[in-house]
Amino acid sequence: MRMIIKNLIKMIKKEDENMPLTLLKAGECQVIKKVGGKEETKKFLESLGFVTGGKVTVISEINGNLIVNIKESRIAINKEMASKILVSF
Amino acid sequence: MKGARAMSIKIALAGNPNCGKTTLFNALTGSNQFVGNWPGVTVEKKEGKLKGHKDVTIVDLPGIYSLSPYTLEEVVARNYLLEEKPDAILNIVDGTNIERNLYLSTQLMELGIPVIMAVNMLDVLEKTGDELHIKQLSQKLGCEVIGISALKGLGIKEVAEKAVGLAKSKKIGSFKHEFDLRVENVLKAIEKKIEGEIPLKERRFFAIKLLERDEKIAAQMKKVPDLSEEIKKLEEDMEDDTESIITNERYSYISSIIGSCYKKKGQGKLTVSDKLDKVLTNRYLALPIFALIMFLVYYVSVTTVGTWATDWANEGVFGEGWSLFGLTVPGIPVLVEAGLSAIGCAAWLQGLILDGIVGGVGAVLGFVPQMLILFLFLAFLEACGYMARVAFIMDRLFRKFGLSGKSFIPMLIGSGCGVPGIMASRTIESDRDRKMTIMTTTFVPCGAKLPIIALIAGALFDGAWWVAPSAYFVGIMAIICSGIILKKTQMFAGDPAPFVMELPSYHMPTVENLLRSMWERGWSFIKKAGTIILVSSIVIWFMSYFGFVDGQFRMLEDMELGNSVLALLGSSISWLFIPLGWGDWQSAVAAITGLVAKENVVGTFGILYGFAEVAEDGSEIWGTLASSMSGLAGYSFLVFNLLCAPCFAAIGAIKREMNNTKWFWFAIGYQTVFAYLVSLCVYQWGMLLTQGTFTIGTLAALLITFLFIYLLVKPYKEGSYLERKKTMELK
Amino acid sequence: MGTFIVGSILLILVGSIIKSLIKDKKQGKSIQCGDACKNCSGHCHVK
Repeated sequence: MRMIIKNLIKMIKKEDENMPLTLLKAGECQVIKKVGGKEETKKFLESLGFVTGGKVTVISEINGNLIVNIKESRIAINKEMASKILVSF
Repeated sequence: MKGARAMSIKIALAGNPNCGKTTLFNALTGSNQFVGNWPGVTVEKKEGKLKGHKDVTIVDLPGIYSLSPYTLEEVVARNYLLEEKPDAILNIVDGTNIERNLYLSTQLMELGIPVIMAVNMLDVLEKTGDELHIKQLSQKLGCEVIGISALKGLGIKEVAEKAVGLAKSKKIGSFKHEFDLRVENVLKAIEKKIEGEIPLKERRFFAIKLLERDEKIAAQMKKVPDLSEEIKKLEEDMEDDTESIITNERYSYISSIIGSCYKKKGQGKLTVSDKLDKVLTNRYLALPIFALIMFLVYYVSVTTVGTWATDWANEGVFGEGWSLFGLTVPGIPVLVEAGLSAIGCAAWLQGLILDGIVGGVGAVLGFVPQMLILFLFLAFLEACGYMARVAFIMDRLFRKFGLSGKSFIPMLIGSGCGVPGIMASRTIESDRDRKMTIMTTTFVPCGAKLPIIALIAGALFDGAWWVAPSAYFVGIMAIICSGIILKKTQMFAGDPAPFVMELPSYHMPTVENLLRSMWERGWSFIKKAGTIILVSSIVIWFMSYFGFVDGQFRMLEDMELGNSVLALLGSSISWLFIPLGWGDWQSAVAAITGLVAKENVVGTFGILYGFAEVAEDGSEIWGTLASSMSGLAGYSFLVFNLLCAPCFAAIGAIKREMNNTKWFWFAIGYQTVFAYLVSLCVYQWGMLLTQGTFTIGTLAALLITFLFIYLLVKPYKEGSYLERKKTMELK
Repeated sequence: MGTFIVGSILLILVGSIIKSLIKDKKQGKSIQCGDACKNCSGHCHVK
């Protein structure tokens, strides 16, 4: 299912090759392209290390909720928040 | 004034959560502040005196990720640093994720206060094989950097001495970090505009915050210059908003210095913690594993190891006697009785001491072994980092009924004591979620309820394996069901907050830390027994051993307690509990005394059921209780006491946190009514299933059960802002 | 006689316990927690 979505997105958004963090599987690592969301949320995420250009690796996943490795630290983040973090393909 | 004594020095400890700040604080001040593993544990600053320096105060600030004003902890820390102006900042940095930690450091260094950096967890860093060149880092940052391991006690003295020296010298480091030239130029312009109001050393910090449009900082200034032009130009120039510009600049600066100071050896391999997480937070295994762990915790502490120890305490120390190296040492009641008789003490006073004090307090103290073991387990689970994962695991479950995993943290804390659990709800931003969390936190059995659990399990169920763990799960189910029911009402409807939390690495807690935590909890339990429970026991004894017989008010014999003042009072409300299976005055009274302290339930039973009377046939402890209350009634009694309103201390905490009389009474009322209805159903269904009796009580239980099911499955009401949110997300 | 001795010891004991409870209450500490203030991380003191 994920592969289908990935390829669809790839086809449609040719220039804007971003996808939400939630589409990454455990073990995958990508570069963050954009951190969205409310101002306060964005700032908080940034202070945790979720910043454009940073690398994020998914360690574990439960129904969309993720545990990721960002700047050598381990952050648990729920699906809604993770969907606002866009990473490159 | 020449020759004046040096003024006292204040050094602030600042750093990310989980970086070892509180461990360092304990090491520096010799105090025993509790080291928690999640946000909300340290929400206020804590102070202590540096060991060996009478004039140096160390302040432990809440763990923060940055100095922006968005979370409660950040506001507390920032306000302290800006207003109290400590003489130096000891910035603790977690060596295992330096990059993220430095984000805060760069901000601390802009405040104009001398900063010294301590890189913690060097021992862990060594194990990973990564290299950190401290001298290089120090040079690049422009401040002194010392490597330490707070846990192992390495480098503590050095960093303390250097920090004091720095504070005394008042030398602000030459912080070298510079942003992009365009940003620097704008900052220079801003600094010029605020020259009049802000002293030199703070100017950069204020300039940066004003550039980021920090409203709270602007509010603190008397005259805020108009910077809209400068900001607009920079934002157009760099194609981003100023806050993001500064953030990116910081991280760029950090990357530039990290490159030369930090060498990674292990490339992208999963750490032990990661591997553990893959199993413990696995989407299928996570909840079953948690259930199994909590089952084992309660089973082992109450039913197996705990029981042996408590049997020794109840039958031996507080009973007939116990053997010490082959000699029989008589139990305390025997000794006391003998002693009092020998001294010619009057019967009534003997009664007060034996039946009242020894009976009440002794009954409670008998459960100390089980409590200690439970607290040891809970301390281990929290200190090793697992409980943080549980909040994350429960988030997925909680989200199904509109709460977030953040609401589970107070419940985890509440398994020790409800008061800090209720206080921990402060970190929940959503008002509705916070209220709901406050209302349901005390459903989880706290330490004080353990004697009740252990008593029912031991005396009425002969130590059956399922009774004690079931108490915990009853609490959890009560929370989940309450959550579902309440979230479906208009009052609480709405979306849950997002959940973001740092998970510390798993680590083996030191035996010292565990034993200390266990002992602290245990000692407070013993102290509680010797104070409030002792006083309560005396009052209860007087009220139960004095009453009216044939119109005459006098002291009563053991068989006449039914005539006592207490029985009179108890009988006036005990009829309420008949449908619950325990409509006798003793149980009603015991439950009421539980309001003062939950342990009193056991203490009261101890007095009323003649605990101090050693049974003639030496039969099992609590024989008289077992003969007057059936197992089913006992379980219903247990459920009621687990779920009803907590002790006065916790009630006070609820009142303070709700900050609203109406909500406070709603919370207490909800808990008690919920407890009543659930216990009623437990008893009535139990009677139906085991004995086939069908009474009006059974009918009531049926109705209640149907109502319950309806409330659980009825559709959700749309929160009014659910619609608005959906439209906003499309931006 | 024995009663008097035991009684007065008890009175002194209980009296001092009650006094310390009142002292705690005045300091703002909860009297029902035992000495658990460290575990509460300073949440008791209502400022």
